[in-house]
Amino acid sequence: MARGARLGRRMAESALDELRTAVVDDRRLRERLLVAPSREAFVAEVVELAHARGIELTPAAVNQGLAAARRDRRARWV
Amino acid sequence: MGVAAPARLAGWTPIAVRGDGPPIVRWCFTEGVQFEEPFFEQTIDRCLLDPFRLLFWRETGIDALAELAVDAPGLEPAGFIFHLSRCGSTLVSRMLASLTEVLVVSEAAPIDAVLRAAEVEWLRWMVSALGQPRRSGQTRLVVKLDAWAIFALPLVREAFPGVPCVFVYRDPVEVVVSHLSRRGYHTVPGTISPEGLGLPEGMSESLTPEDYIAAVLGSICNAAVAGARAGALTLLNYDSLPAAVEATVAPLFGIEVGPAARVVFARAAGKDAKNPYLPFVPDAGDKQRRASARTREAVDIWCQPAYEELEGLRCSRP
Repeated sequence: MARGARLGRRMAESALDELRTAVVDDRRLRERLLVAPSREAFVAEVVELAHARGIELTPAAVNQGLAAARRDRRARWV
Repeated sequence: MGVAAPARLAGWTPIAVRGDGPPIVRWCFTEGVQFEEPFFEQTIDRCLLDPFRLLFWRETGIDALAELAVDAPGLEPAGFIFHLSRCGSTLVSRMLASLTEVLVVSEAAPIDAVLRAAEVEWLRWMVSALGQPRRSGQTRLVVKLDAWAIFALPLVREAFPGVPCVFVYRDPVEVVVSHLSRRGYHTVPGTISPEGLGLPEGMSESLTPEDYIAAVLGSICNAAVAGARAGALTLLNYDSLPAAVEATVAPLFGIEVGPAARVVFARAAGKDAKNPYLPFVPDAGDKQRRASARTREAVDIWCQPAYEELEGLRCSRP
């Protein structure tokens, strides 16, 4: 992977972590995201929530985060 | 991510433990989720179909489990189910789970992780975290462990002294036939160290599939013999199911079985335990017919003495 792409991915992960910290402890935000009617709507909601908090996050970065979480689940933790 | 405060963990369930370095616990938001599937991992996989629950995980140190156990202790375990695998143990857990007052946590990877770490406190905390009632009226917690957890029986007894434990087993010929057609995790060489299966180091390299599977099962049976001799296990043969769930397991675990529960039990026993959409079909005869001479020979070498000892111990008890 090119250096620029790696850097971009790390920044996206960091932005997602920042948003995650805000969301997991906020019942209102959790409820808002839980009722998203589709995956596309969910991704759009996440991007909007991030922007409202000054966090730079794109739909592609959210989709990458979902894919990474799925891969992580498949890998058996010990 | 930073360490989450335990007070904020209400509605979250530990789903994995990462053990390289100080353990990290990953949590999934499970508020409102019923644990209805035959296995814990299936429930979590269903949860993670929801993009919110998949993306917005949290991680903590292992100590968060301790604080949660103080802030919001889960149900005390009423009993533990140990087993040989492919032997009716899921039928036992499904019948118990069909009662509204019973929460069953079945073969949860986070419990396996803390058993492997051999930390008695971690085990208490993890069972407490997983034993959070999932609906009102749930008052009894039953924990079904992985087959190889029998080697951690002393740790379970130390963590939960006095809590009854059962060991479910079956004619090993039928169990080996089942594993030959679809291997269980513990019967694939290399997934669990020989030491973790009570086997000598390097043993798997020289054995045929029949011998390796039979050796693992024989080792599990030997550990169960030791547990039963020490008075730590109540033995249940597949042949005694499903009646033994009402007659033996429920009273042992302090679960009352009235007329309504009998109806629920009968309904649960009529279904395939691992796929409740299918009816139960007896398969002992079929498995015996499919057993090759090589399979029977491997069972004779590795399992039969321990199996016969289990049967002797079971039959000698009232």
